[in-house]
Amino acid sequence: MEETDDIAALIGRVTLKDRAAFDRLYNAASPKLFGACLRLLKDNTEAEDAMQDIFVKIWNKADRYRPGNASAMGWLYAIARNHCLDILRARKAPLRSMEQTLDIPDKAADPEKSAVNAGEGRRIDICMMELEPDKAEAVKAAYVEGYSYAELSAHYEVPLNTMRTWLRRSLMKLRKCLEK
Amino acid sequence: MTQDTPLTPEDSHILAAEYVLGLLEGAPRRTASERLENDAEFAAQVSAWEQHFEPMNAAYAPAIPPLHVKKDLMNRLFGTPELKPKGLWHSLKLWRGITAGALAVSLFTMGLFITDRQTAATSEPLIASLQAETGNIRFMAFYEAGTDKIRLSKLDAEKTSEQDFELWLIEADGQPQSLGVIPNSRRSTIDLSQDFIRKINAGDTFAVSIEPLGGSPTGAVTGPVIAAGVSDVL
Repeated sequence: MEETDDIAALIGRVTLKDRAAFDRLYNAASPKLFGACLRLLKDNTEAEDAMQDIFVKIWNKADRYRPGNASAMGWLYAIARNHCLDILRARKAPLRSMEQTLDIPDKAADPEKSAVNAGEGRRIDICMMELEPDKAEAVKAAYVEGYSYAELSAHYEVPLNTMRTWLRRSLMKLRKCLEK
Repeated sequence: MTQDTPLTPEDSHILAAEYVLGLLEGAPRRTASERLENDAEFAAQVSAWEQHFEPMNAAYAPAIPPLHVKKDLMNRLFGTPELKPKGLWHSLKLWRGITAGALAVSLFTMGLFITDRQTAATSEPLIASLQAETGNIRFMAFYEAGTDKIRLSKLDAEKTSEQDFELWLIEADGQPQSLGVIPNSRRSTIDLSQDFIRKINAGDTFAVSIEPLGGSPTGAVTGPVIAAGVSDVL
């Protein structure tokens, strides 16, 4: 696996329109980003098309990356997730099945373990544990699967506004905890 | 539109989180996207949430995309391999054909005399026009192979007093190497370190980035690249 520093250096070189660096960046980052696209879009062809658009964005917007501000891989994930979310939100298809949401493994044990493993970097996991389990699951499902308020409200069988209130309260709690 | 509605700081943070999670749909998502482009504070909040949630990316199992994805991508960005790139940052050759007059003016401003080149038969004078992505020529660089000085002419480039322009050499292998900070005057000279004297060849790319005063603290490009151009034999 490429080190984060290498990804940052490659992005730096891509700002100079360095194609060799772009090629290496693709090799290093594409499996992770494709994994995210598949999970979010749940469609191979759409995920493949999205990958092209995402890497065109990376090529064009590399100069927006500020080292030290965000991890390089995190910045790439953000571009990929956002692009996929735009595709999801533009779809007219009915709500997606929520089954996979429930497959997220070890909701209770996993965050604790990773928090210990990664120290400060896993503050989010510690803070997620302060939320009620179903709210934490909803936050995680929104992030990982890209579920909208409407999809979550259908899944939890609560009115849309209730879902909104739930999640906004959870986000406020999270924010307080993260800023401690 | 809600875009112009002032949000309380708390609302703004929560909207940023909702945007990052992907909870928003339709107009609210579009409005948040627009706000992201136009509101630096909101953009910083979005970036903060992205960093908070970053560990959740571990939930994405990596999957290698099919080979055709990369091939199509590269074709889309760079055309078919045998064709020269037709990006916005033209090579000098292309540019030279279009604005020969501007080149003559630039050479004059650099104090370049054609006789220089006749007296040094073994040396190879190189020139590069460093252009912005829009095509504006920001700098001209002139270098006579084997000498220890690059001469630069600043045509159209601005920076603040807390910044410096830094000149970079990108050889075929693609790794940018700093040639030094560019003095802030219309005409300037950069003294090359010994390492670079035999290194610079036609076809190498020169680029200028904006860096903190004194140049990049890391030795790698850290600021925006404002101009780039490929050197060619004069």
